[in-house]
Amino acid sequence: MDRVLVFSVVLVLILGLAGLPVAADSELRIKVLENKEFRINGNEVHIVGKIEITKGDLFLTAGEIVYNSEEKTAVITGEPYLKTKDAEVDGQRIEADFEEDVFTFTGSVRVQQAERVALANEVHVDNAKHIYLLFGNVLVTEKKDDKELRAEEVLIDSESDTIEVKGPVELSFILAKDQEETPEETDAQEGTAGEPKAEAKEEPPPQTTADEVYVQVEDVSTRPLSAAEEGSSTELY
Amino acid sequence: MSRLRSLLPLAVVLLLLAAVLTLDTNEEYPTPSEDREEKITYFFSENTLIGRSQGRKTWEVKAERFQVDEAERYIYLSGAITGVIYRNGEESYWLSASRGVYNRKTQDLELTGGILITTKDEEKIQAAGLTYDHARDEVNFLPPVKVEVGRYTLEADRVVFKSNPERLLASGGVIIKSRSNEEIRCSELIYYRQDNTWEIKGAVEMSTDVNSSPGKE
Repeated sequence: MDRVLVFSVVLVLILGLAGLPVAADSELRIKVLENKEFRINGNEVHIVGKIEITKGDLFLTAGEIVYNSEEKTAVITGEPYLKTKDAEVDGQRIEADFEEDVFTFTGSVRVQQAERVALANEVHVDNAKHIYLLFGNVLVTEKKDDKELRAEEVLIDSESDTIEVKGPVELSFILAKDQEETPEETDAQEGTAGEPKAEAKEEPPPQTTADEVYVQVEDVSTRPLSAAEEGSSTELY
Repeated sequence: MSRLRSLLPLAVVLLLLAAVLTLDTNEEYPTPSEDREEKITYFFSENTLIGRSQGRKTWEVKAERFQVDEAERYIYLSGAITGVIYRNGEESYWLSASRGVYNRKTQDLELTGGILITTKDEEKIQAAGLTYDHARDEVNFLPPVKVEVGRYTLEADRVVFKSNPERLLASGGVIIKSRSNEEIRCSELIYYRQDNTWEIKGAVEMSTDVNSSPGKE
């Protein structure tokens, strides 16, 4: 009898919880905490003030948004800040496509992750795939070992925790105190089959210190840097 | 005794007549405002009431029945009521209602019983009633009010229409829904008819389901 009662209570609870409204990932919510201007003209919604936007695990704040209700797109300005499941991104301007979950940041963009900080002129955030594509004067700093990567195009895949670099790249990192040897530059920089062989500069730049290794690679095609590989202090990849 | 018997049917008839007449005089004309109890002295049928301003026709109301109070201050409209509001000499708004009172002194007009106002731009206002304040040149709509403008639908506790410029002021539990699934909740908004612009004041919350937007082709 007691078992039947317990079973019934559990069943009711399960059914009750199933019936509760759950915020869907596709629900976009724009909250205007401080409304300086809110105008709707046709498809266009122009908001100025203190704005909070949420969609699934995404959280965005800004000072101004021009939202297209038909296309579900927006141009967001006013110190926009975006927080995803695995990163915080800020810049000067965002072109957002809420349907595709893609956000293009421009103007001194900074991507902050638990163990990494990246700076770039432009960043495409694909929140559905957890991919961050950085363009122009890209500087990626790994916090745990002060490794620095400079390139023109860098792809950070948070799902697989890999970094993919396109075009010329500079990599610098500090060797551990007890390590004496320098990395085997050209051998370590060989790409995958069919890729051009990377060439290291003959002379290291003057700012290189005794404990710091500086490597510049030119004309390197796509090269992944996995988390496991990052653990190595002497090898590039 | 036999004389009394012969008078009995007449007495019964008289009693019945008296009862019927009492019922008739007790029947009150339904007025939108409870405080108006003027005696009705005139009755017109299928007539048109026309409002003019500076010699120009500003509105025209047709009703199945018109009744005028003794002081000739109020005109009561009933039955099917239809009307036209003119702007710059052109027909701009069409309305329908089932009851109304027109104040000849103030030129105010009250309409009740399922108001429907439409425009040539396919705008639509539905309300339980409206009050036209001639001195202020504004229309107050009685809740529940539903306004349809283009791709948006508005619902609010209080809606006022003002002119110069033509604008709609909504307050209290304002909800705007768009054809593309947006739902905007706020406490105060103004819709400017000429610019087709909605201006929202105070705290606002907008929500939409981005993956089920019927508006996007």
